[in-house]
Amino acid sequence: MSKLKLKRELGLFDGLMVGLGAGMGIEIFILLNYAADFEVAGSAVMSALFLSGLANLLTMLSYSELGAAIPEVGGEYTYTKAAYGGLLAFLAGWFRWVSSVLGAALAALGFAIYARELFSSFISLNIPLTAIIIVFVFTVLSIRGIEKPRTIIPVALIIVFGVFILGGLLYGLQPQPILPVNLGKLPGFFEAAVYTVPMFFGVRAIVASGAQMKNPDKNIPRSLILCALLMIVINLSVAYVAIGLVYPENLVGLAGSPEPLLVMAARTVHIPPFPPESSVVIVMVAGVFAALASLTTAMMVQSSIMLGLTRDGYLPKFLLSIHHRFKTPYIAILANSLFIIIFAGTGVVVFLAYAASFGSLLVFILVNLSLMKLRKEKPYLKRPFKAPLYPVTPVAGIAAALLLMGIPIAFGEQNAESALMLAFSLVILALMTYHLRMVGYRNLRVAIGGMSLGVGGFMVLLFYLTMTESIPFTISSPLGLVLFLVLIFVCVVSILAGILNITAKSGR
Amino acid sequence: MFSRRILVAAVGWIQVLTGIIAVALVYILYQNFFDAQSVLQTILNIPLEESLPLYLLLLLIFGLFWILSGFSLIQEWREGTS
Repeated sequence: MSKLKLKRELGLFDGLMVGLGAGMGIEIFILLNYAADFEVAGSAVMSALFLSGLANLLTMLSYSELGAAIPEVGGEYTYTKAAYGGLLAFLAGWFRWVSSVLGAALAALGFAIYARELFSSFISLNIPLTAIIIVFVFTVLSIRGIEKPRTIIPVALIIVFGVFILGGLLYGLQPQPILPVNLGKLPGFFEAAVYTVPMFFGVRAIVASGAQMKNPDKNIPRSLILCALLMIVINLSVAYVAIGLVYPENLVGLAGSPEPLLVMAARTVHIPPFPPESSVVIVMVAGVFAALASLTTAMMVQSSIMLGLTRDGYLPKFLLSIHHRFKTPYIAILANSLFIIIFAGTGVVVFLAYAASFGSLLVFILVNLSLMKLRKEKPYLKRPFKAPLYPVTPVAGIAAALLLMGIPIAFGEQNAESALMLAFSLVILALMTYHLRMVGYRNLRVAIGGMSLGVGGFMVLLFYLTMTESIPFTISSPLGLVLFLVLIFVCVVSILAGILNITAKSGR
Repeated sequence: MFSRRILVAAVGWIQVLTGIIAVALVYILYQNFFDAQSVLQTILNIPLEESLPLYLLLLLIFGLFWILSGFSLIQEWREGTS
C-alpha cells in the first residue's frame, strides 16, 4: 500500500472531539427505545450499557496499542494487513465498510425520526423517504467537499446532555433497578447489550484521524481510552435519567412507540422560566444534529476505507476518480451513497442496528487477533503504548464480542439470526470480490460481457417463446405494451454491452 | 475507434441510468408507493402476492449488475478520452 501522508495537526483535544463527535451520535437517541423496552431489558439496560461499554473499552486498548505503533491511514485494515495480510485484512476493511454503510443508514433514519417529531405540527414526514432525501443531500455536499465543523456539534451535545441530566435530577427522577433481577430476562439483557453497543463504536473514529495526529505515540492511546471512558459515563448518565423520568409505566411497548425515549423523558422536564415544551424542542434539535454528525462521520469513514481497498487493487480503479472541479472522490461517494440509500430505504431501524453491531464486532475480533499475532511475530515493533494485562485484555475483548454476537442467536432472537445471515452473505460476497482481484480486470470485463450476452440471449428466447405462444403471456393494456418495448430495449442494450465488454482491449 | 467510443459511452450511461431506475423501482414496489404492486399485477396479468419477493430480488440483481457493467464501459470511455 502506498503511504498517504497527511499533515499532523491534531492534538489531544482534537482527538477527543473527533471521538466524542462520532461517539455521541444518533444511536443513543433512537436505540434506547429498543434496549429499554420492558420486554427486552427494561431498566436493566443500565447494566447492558455498562457491558457493551466495557467490551468497547477492552478493544479500544488494543486499538490504542496498534494505533500508536502503526499511526497510518486505514485503521483496522492497516493493522490486520500488518498482522495477517491478504484475505483477513480485506475482510477487516470490508466489514468496517459494511458497518459504516449500515451506521450511515441508521443515522439517516434517525434524522428522519427526529425531523418528523420536530416538524410534526407542520407536516407528516415519511421516514424512509426523508432518510433517502438526507442521504442524497449529504452526497451532494460530500462531492462538493464541504467539511463539518469538528468541535461545535460534540460541545453542543455535551451541553444539551448536561442540561438534560441536571433537569432530570432536579425534576421527578425515579430510582430504578439497574441489574437484571429476573434470570428469565437474561436473553433480553444480552439483546439490549447488542442494541447499545453501537453507542460506543464511534470512538474508533480517532484511529481514522491517526495519520493527522501530532505526537501520535501519546495522543492516540490517550484520546482513545479517555473517550471510551467518557462515553460510558455519558451514555450511562443519559440513559439513567431518561429511564428514571418515564419509569416504569412508559417502558411497556417502548420499542413500538413512535416517540423516542429521550423526547418522552424531556416532555416531563419543565425548567422555569422557560416554556414547558422548550426541553422537548432542544432534545429534538440535538437529535437532528447528532444524526447529521453521525451521517457525516460514517460517510467520511466509508469513503476512506473504500479508497484504501481500491488503492490496494481490491475494488475497481475507477472508484479513485477525482472530480475535476471539487477534487473529491465522487464515484466512491456516489457508490457508497447508493448502498446507504438501499439500506435506509428499508426503514427497519432494529435490523440495521443489529447488523451494524455484528459487522463492527467482527472487526473488533480481527483487531484483537491482529494485536496478539503482532505481539508474537513482531516482538521488536516499536510500541509506545502497550495494552495492559496482556493477553487478558485482547482475549477478554474477543470473548465479549463473541458473547454479544452469540447469545442472542443462541436464544433465537430473530434480528440476530437475520444479521448472522447477512454477515454470511457478506462474507461470500467478500470472498468473491477478493478472488475477482486475482482474476484481473480484463477477465472481469469478459465475465461481465458474458453475463450480459447471457441476459440478452435469455430475453431473445423469452420473446421467441412469447411470440410462438409457447408460454401463456398476454399483454392486456397499453402499459403492458410499453413494458414489452422496454424489455426489447433491455435485450438490445444487454447484447451490445456484452459485445463491447468482451471485445475491450484494455488490459490493465 | 471513434464510433466504438461513442457506442461505449452511450451504452455505459444507458446501463448505469437504467440500473439506478431498476433499483429505485424495486424500492417503490417494496414500499408499495402509489399502489405500485397492484398496478404491476394489472399490467402483467399474473398473481404477484407470493412471487413478488423473488421478482424484486431478480430486479435488484439486474439493476446492480447493469450499474457495474455500465461503469466498466464508462471507465473505458474515460480512459479513451483522457
